Amino acid sequence: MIFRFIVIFFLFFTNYSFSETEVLEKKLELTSIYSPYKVRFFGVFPKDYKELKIKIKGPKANFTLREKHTIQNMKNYSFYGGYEKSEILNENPKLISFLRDKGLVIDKINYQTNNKQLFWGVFTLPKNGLAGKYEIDYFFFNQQGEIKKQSNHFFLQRNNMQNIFYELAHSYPLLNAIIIIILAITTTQVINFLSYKLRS
Amino acid sequence: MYFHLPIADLTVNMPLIFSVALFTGIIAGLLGIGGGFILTPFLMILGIPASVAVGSTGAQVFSSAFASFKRYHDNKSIDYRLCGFLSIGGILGTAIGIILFRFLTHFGYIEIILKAGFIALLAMTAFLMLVKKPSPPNVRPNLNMKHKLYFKTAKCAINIWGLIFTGGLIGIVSGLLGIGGGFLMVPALIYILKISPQSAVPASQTNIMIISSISLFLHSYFNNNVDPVLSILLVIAGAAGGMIGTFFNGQISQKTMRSIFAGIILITSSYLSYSLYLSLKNPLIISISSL
Repeated sequence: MIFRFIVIFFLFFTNYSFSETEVLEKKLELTSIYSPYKVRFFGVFPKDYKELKIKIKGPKANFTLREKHTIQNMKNYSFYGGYEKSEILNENPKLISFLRDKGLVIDKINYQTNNKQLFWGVFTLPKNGLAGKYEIDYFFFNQQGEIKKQSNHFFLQRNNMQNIFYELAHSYPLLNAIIIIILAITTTQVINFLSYKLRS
Repeated sequence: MYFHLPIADLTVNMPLIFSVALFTGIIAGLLGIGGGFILTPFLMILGIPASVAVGSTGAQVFSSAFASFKRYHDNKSIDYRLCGFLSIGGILGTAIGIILFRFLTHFGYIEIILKAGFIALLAMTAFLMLVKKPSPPNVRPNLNMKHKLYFKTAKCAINIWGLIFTGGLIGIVSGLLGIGGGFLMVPALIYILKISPQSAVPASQTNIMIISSISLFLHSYFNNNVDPVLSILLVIAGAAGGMIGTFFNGQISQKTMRSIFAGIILITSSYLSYSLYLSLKNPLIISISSL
């Protein structure tokens, strides 16, 4: 299907088995299953780390925001995708809703776990998720409050046909307009011909 | 069936968009109008970003005007010299309209201005439908007046600055709102510049064809807001709808058609007014500056 995104989801995950003198590293390759807007993940807790928080930061996009009381000054703000809502959004529900619609905010990710050894879960990309790099940060917490961070990323890419249209419009805008005009003329001619045939 | 629009970066319900464009085409075919000024608000209501709706509707406006142009060209009823003067103003006006569009987009005002602009346009259309139109003036050529030229095909003498100015004004509206502006231009040509309706309508359609193509180029180049997938969808649906509308043109009474059209205008303008009210009321006004 033409609208489906192709996701290249490659995650390398490392399992650390800690002792003071030894680090045992295991490499786990996470599989991913991408159905239109769902991405599955799983991994292994590092030893002694029993809490996990997952954050996803989406691709960058420029937005212009204007606060009503600063209209006179035409004050502009540039916001970028993927920020945590508490960081920049000032808990404004309308803004959060807007950015979520544009695929810029992904809420807290929930996961399931098996005796705090394995974890797995599913997150759904926003409906109109922007194409680009999505960074996943895994924050592991232990009882002493230490934090271990590991990161992965995946790319949300347009499929070939979408990419052709996108590149055409952004890299060759005049050619884009010419093609649209030629197609418009052709369509009009075809419809006129059909109309003539129907009438006659 | 969902479809991804690459420039709007939006997944939309394709049959819904197609149906709306088809419906607009049918209305346009029934009433003999271009339909751009109904289609753009409809697309905005369906969630297409205003800038993409304006940019992409240009293709449908061009297609509709091209079909009319071809018909008038075959009938040899186009005064190309007259169209030339109109288009000089039209091209300049379109460029100004698109510069304004870019400026307003940059500062986040575009959604508000477009909504307000379409509300005003729809109100004006409703007003023009209610007011009884005066009969077209009798045209008598006058070669002696300053700045006037005699146009052979149109069979009248017209002030060239008036032509350029009229084309320019319509061009600004066209560039800013992405409409053809035929419903503004034809009355202006007939009642202000005293051109006969037989010449005014072909001149208007030719001018719309030229400025909509220029508008398409400029929007695509400067604003990157012409979505090829949406454009083609609108062109196909609009042309098919226009064909259906033209087919049923003589079979529905003018009164019924006007009532239907008035109803559509009322609903669309009410929704846009409510949407504009919400935009002004809420503390944050947000617009996409670039994608």
